Amino acid sequence: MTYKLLIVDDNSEVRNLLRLTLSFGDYEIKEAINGVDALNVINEWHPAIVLLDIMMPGEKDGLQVCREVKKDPTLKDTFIAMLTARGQDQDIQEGSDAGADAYLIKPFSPLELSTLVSRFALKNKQI
Amino acid sequence: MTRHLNNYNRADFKLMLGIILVYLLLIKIVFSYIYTEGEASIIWLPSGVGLAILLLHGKRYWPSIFLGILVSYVFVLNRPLLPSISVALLSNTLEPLIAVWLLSAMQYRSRVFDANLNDPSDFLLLTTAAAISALIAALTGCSILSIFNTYAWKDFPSNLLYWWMGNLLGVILVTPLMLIWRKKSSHKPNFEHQKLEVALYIGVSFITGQVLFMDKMHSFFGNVAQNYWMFGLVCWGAVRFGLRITLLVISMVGVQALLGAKLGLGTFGHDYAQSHLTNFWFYMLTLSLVGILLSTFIQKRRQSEIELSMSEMRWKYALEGSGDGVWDWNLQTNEVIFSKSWKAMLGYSEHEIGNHISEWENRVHPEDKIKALADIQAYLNCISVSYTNEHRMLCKDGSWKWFLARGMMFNQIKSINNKPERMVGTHTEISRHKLLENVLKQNEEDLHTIFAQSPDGIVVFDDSRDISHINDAFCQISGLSYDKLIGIKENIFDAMMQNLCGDRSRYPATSNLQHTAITSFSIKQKAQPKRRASDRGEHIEIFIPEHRVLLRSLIQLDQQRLSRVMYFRDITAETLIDRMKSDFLSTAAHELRTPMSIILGYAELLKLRSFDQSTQIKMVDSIHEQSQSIVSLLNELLDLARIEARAGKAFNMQKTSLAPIIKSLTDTFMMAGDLRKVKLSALPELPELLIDKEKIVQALKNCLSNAFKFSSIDSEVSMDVSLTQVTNKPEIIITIRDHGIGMTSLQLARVFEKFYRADTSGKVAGTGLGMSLIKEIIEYHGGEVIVESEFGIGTVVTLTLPVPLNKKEREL
Repeated sequence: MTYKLLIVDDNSEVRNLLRLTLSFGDYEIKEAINGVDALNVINEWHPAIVLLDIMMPGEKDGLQVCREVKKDPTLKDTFIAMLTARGQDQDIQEGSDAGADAYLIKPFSPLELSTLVSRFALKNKQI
Repeated sequence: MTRHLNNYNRADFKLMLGIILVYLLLIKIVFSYIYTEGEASIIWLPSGVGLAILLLHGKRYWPSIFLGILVSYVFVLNRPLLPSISVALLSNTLEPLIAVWLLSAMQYRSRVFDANLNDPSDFLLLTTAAAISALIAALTGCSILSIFNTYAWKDFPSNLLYWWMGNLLGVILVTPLMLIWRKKSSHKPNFEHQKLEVALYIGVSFITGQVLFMDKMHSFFGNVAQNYWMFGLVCWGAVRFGLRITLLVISMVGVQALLGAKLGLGTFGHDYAQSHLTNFWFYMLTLSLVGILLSTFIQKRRQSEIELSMSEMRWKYALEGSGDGVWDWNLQTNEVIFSKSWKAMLGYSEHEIGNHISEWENRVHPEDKIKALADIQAYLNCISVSYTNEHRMLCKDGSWKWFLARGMMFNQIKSINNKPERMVGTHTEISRHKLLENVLKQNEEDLHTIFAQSPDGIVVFDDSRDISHINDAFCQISGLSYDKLIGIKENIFDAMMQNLCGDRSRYPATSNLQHTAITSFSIKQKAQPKRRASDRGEHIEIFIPEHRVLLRSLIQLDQQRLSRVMYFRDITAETLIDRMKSDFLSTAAHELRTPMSIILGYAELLKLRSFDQSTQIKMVDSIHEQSQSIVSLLNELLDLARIEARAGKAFNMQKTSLAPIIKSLTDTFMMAGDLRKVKLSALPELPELLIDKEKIVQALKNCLSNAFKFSSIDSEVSMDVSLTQVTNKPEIIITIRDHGIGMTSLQLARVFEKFYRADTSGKVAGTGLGMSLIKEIIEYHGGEVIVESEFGIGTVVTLTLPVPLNKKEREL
């Protein structure tokens, strides 16, 4: 089964890296470069997995996007992994409060990331 | 009756028995030896004894007198029962009772009778009471006897007089003798040292009595002997020995004179026949009066002399003992008596200082003299109520000591020309007080300076919680004026402070704070554990007149008092720098994480997976690019940190001409993959500047690279250099202009923020530190950085550098 996966990051290099990392799995990948963009894509496309950067320019940051998605009953099952350079305990708590399913701190290991995402996919398959 | 008897104990009965026996004896003696006319005698001893008994032992012994008379009359004299006994009982019992009552009721010059006969008035009171009571007794007795026809009515006046005379003399002769010899006075006269004289006196008196009244040595003295001799002897006794011995001699004389009269010898040998002993009576009365009055008078004088000298001594000891020097100044003669301690205070011995006012005047410190003399004058003129003055006096050893002088006009006696006569006073040494006073004054001044100069704001509330002191620092911090704050209540102060905090923070009010909740401060508690300021204070953030962070500590000086002190320490700088540092660090870390995640990610992918050639190259390029960006980020971070930390010490300032630097920079400046060159307009003639060449080049490079990075490859980047001469502060202005993407006003506002990057696409390499670095460098040189930008049109960066004035220009 092919999962829809959305990469949200303002940095193109990071997006390239993520795309390359996940290219070995069975994912249909889309990209967004800011919060507003990301929400639009999520609402229209309903991805199963979102890799979400927190610090992004524009009206909405990653945490706000996460909160809105988790608030929406039709979207709340979306698997959201926060992917950020902000790695302090307080930030992680904020992410968890916003409803994020996973919290990855940059720099992250691509292997770790692909394992995390594929584990989610496997779990969903079993269900 | 039984109840009445219960009031008497065994000792009383014994005494009463004794009294009865005394009466038996007395009456036997009177009727056997003393001339009596009917029921009356010229000396009626029982009336004196009765009064003495009641005075010495109390009125309640009257029954013993009654019984004594009864027993004597019935068993000794065998008198018929009536009317003789009844008269004797009535008059003899009544008389002493009346006399005692009179003595307790009478006063002489507000003096109550004292049975110790310390004062002549006591004796006068006694005599008066005796005269009255004797009259009553005589009246009663004579009347009854006349009624019962024992006496003839025609003899009533003479009987009455005779009776009265006898009773009175009895009291005068016997009562004082008994009172004095029985008295338990604390100061009994002591005759030890004049035993011989007393013996001689009594002997001479006895012999004189024998000569005068018993007609002894008649052959020798003959008719020379006169009874007035005895007055001389009584005076001797009164002056030398007092009442006891004198009374003894008077009694002795009375016995001798009476015996003489009885035997028909001496002075009163014919008195019975001639005047019924009236001469004797007058003689004894006068002798007694003279002896007793003179004795009591002299005794009293002597007593008051002792008391006076005792009190003088007490005052002297008190004054000298207190260490005060005493002076007594005769204002008329300017003679002064200085006490020994006055002289000792100045280090002189008794005889080294004379008795003139100049002894004081010459020793007063010249600075204090005028005031001291003026104070004295003011007091003497009754302008001031008292004289007190503090002045220095010169001591013998040449040192100056401080004294407090106090004095008063003596008794306020004014002499004829209405000038005060004497002034008496003391000098107390107060050098130590003065020293302490000065130290205190100095301390207060020091504290006041500290208070005024303190960089911390201090607000002091007094016991009624009104502001009593505020220092300048607080006015400066709060922007509130002294006049607005002084005297206001604590709750109003709270409201004013809340006002300064605005809506954004809360001021923790103190007016409702319990006293026990406040740190109490005591100088004694030196050993208190050290606390950091922040441990016992509250952070207060005010926004008016500007954003400040204050640390407030509230201190109570004394647990018993309501006064409080508030300290406001301005910790804005510390707090904001702390905040900035932590922000800076976390931002720096964050900026490093993104390139590192790309490097780490690609490296790991390359290690784990295989990619085609072109992807591999792309990945390695990315790694390289991000590594470079980390290196430049680190370099710029270090540069910035170095500039900030050393506050410019890293700068190597030299007098340099700017033109060649700019020329070589614009000639060589190239961006990778960009073929454009900087378009430099013609340079004007530029003066030499004091700059760090390398740093200026770095700043210019940063400006140019920004211009290149954010503009399209076919647009123009230009640089202008000009010199303003308009103001008296000439400046070199460097303008770098591009026609690139520009910035929005929001982006422009944050342009100098560290790590801020208007472009976040990651397409353009950069650290976000460039503009901060430019600003640091130019501002260190005394210049300014101005950035103007319009989104989509381009950006203009203007740098100014001040031209140092040479000497000539400065003088102008």
